[in-house]
Amino acid sequence: MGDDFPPMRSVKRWLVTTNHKDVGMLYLSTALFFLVFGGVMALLFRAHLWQSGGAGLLTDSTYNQAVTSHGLLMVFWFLSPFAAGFANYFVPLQIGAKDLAFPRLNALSYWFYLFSGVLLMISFFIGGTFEGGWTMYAPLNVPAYTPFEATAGGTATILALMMFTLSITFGTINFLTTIHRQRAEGLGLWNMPLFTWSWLLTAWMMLFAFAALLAALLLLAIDRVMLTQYFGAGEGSSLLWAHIFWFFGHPEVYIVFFPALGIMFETFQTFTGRRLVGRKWVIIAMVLVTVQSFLVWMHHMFLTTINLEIKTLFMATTIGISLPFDLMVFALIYTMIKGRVRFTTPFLFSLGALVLFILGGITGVFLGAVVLDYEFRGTYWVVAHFHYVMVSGVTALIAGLYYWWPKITGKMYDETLGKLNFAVYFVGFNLLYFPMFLAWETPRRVFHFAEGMTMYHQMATVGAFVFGASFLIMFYTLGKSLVSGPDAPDNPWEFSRTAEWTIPSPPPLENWDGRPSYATGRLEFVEEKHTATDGGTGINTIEESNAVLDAHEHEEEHADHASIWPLGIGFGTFVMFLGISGLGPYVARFANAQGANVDGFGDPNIVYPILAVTGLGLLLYFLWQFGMEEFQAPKMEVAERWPFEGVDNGKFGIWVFLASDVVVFGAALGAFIFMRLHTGWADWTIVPPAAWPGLLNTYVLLTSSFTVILALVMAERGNKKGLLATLTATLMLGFTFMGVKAWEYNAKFAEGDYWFTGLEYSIYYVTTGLHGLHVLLGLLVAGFMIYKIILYDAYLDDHRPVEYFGLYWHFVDIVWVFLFPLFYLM
Amino acid sequence: MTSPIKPPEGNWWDQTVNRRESIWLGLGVVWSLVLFGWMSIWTRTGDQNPIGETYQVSESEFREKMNAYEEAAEETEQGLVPEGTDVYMAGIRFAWDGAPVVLEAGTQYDFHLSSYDVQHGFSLRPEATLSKQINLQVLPGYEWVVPMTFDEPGTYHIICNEFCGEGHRSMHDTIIVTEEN
Repeated sequence: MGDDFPPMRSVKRWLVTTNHKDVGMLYLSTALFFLVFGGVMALLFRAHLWQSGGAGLLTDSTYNQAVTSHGLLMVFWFLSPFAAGFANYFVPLQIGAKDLAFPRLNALSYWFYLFSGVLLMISFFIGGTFEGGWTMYAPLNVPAYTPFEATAGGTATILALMMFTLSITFGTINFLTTIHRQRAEGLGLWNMPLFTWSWLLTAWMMLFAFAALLAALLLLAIDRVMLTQYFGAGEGSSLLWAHIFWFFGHPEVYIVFFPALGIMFETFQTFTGRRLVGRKWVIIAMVLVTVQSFLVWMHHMFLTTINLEIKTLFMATTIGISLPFDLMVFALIYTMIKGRVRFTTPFLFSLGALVLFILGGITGVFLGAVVLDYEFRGTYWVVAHFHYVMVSGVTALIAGLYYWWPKITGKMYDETLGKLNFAVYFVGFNLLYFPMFLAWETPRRVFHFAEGMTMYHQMATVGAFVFGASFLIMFYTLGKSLVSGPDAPDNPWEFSRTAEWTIPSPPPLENWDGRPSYATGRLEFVEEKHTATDGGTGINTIEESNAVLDAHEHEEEHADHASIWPLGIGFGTFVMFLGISGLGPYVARFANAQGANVDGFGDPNIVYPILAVTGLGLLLYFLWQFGMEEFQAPKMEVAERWPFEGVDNGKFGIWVFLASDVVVFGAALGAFIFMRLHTGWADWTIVPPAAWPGLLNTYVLLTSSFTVILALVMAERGNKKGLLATLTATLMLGFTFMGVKAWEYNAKFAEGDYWFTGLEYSIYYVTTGLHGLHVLLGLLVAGFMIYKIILYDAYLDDHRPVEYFGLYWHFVDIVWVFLFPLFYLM
Repeated sequence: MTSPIKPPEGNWWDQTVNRRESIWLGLGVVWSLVLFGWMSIWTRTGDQNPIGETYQVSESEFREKMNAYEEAAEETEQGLVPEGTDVYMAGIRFAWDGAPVVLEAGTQYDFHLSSYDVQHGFSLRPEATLSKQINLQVLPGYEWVVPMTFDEPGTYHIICNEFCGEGHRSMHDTIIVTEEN
């Protein structure tokens, strides 16, 4: 299949590709599109802010929409995916891998990203996009407080973000597996290039932080579509939302900034010709930040009603997290002092990023103090501070674009134009954001300001357009390079030492000519004969580690790079989510027929249910095809995998996925405990009709955990009948579980207790329903496996998929072990 | 030129830390602790923005309190004049219940803040210097009691500082502070 892989100029190539470099380019160009989109939104409201009270460009509602979507677009659809583009392209190259561990999953994560963006754009045209700010604070985010014509659009925004979150999770699993398991021989963690280090830590943060966001969005989407009451007014919902959102939201700051930091480290090393000063300590500092990033979230809530002791504690952790950053900043400055600086375009951008980051960082320290926050919060001080930090990240990412552009395209750009770009960029940036510090008293979320501030706001608006123009220069520079730039050498930067510069620009499809290895302490390419399919004589016997290769594995030398099904799955999910966004009115009608009193919804529109069902059908079909496809991911027989030598790629991926799922369930259970404590633990209504169905289901699930272990034993023995019997038993036990669940729900419905009846009911139905959904997914997988065993004798030679399924199934059982006492007994 | 990939010479990991470096690190740690302690103590005992106490309250309970308060207060041309030193105020899309209110300079009032619907932002700004502000997040389901003293007489603006819907930017009211009697 590798042979008929379409060429670069064919459209088909870009629809089917799973190659990490192609996906990287797709990510980069899509992210740049969303940068322009989010930027135009910003120009719109900056122009509107020309005078206090607005220049008449936007209405109250459209202003809110523009501000909200600007935030969402830049934080989610531009910053992280742009960094993900570089990571896709260069992390495998830097660690000496042929591709990511799961190439199809990589393509899937891109398509989820693209289609989530499309869904967001559609939301503007179905009544208006979400307009409650990018933080989506409760309870403004529920339909009761949304104009009814805008509920579908608002829900589409939430679902788009959910889809984006899924995309991130797929990518995360992939990168963690790749970096931990596919490093070239001899490349220990300490010696890993710093961009890869920064991305590794970013991925770990994303894994847990985005899982919390996924949980929050899931609950919110269910609130908006199914009319549950997590975030309805009153019962502590605003604090609940703020906790879950900021538990994601603060690590997100570092998620966005770390890749930029990694690029700064790389470019500083290259253009000063020095190893980064304090390299080991920089890595340790980054690890510290990664851990600590999950312990500072409440500083976003200093002005809510949490108590002073907790505020003080979070003040301390917040000031504490600035210390590792001080170390990194000093390391960068000292590297410049000890090295010989060459002021190329990428270095200028990186240096600019450092200057801006220092300004942004220092202005942030003020905000870390509780008492100062009373003065600063909700003002342009905050706006200026986080734009200095975030857009300094953008500056470093642009540095990365100029740094790696010759490698990606094989063309050089005009250095003078690049420097001009930097000059305009830097002037525009400061003209845009610095006046915001001067006009800091301006309240953040309205277009009114004191007359005396007009000059600063007009300066900022002019700056915004200058800043925007710098991107036009960038596009011109890069476009010109693409059309008529001179060819780039393998390594145009002289002192860059990471592995991507040792191969041609642009790199060939298979990346390496020979196997990269650091076994001797420096990068070398070990000769391997590629035509070994005739009998396995091509193994280089000098390399001792090559002994692990056996002839069987060597036959699968050629790797696939194409699959159309990820695109299909993305499209199916997109259609389904678009459909779901307009189902609210139907549920409202149903609820009203059951005696609930729901308003705030318009008339139902038949298009939405049709879309939802069509999308689900497409999704299932494409998932099926995806599962049936024979796909050979590029293999890495010899690799540095410490400390995960004993865990194969698939198992590692499953473990990582389960870790993120723990956070999803943790957030859902946390929401339950939070709300129950708020209501008063003893005042809570116990919803299930009796404890025995829960107990029965506990026995059923634990038994099924046992049968799934037996299935693994049978697969290891190669016993087809035994494998079929045990898997079928597992499937049947799963059905029994679902049957008991259905009976239980039915008994409640018969009493007139639905998920919209009250908070306790919402939480009961949603939490057990979320678990039920996991069981259902497990059943689908089990059914699919049984089908493959019957038809293709699958898993008898390779029992690993049975083991992976077993891990997932045990996890689902363990979750139930927590749900049962919490919901049925306490 | 050493390579960024190549580790430095010798046993760099176990190298002993220079004594002067240890002293500097120690000083850094001590100084951080001093700063943390200072910040925390200053927040509590320094003459800083008041933090106040928060209580859980349902919407109807707060409405009852508000009714009782409004009944006891004196209705004037400029606004309510509260009976004692408790002042109640609640955000409701897109207005402030309990405002405008007439208060005296120099007296310490207890502001009871809550919301009837969504989150609102309570940003209080003197008219002459709109830059001086105090800013609280007002959440439904919680009553926040914040002690406040107005030093200067004059008009103070209450601006909603959190997105609360389409009419958010028009959500504004005033507190009139009169001379000390």
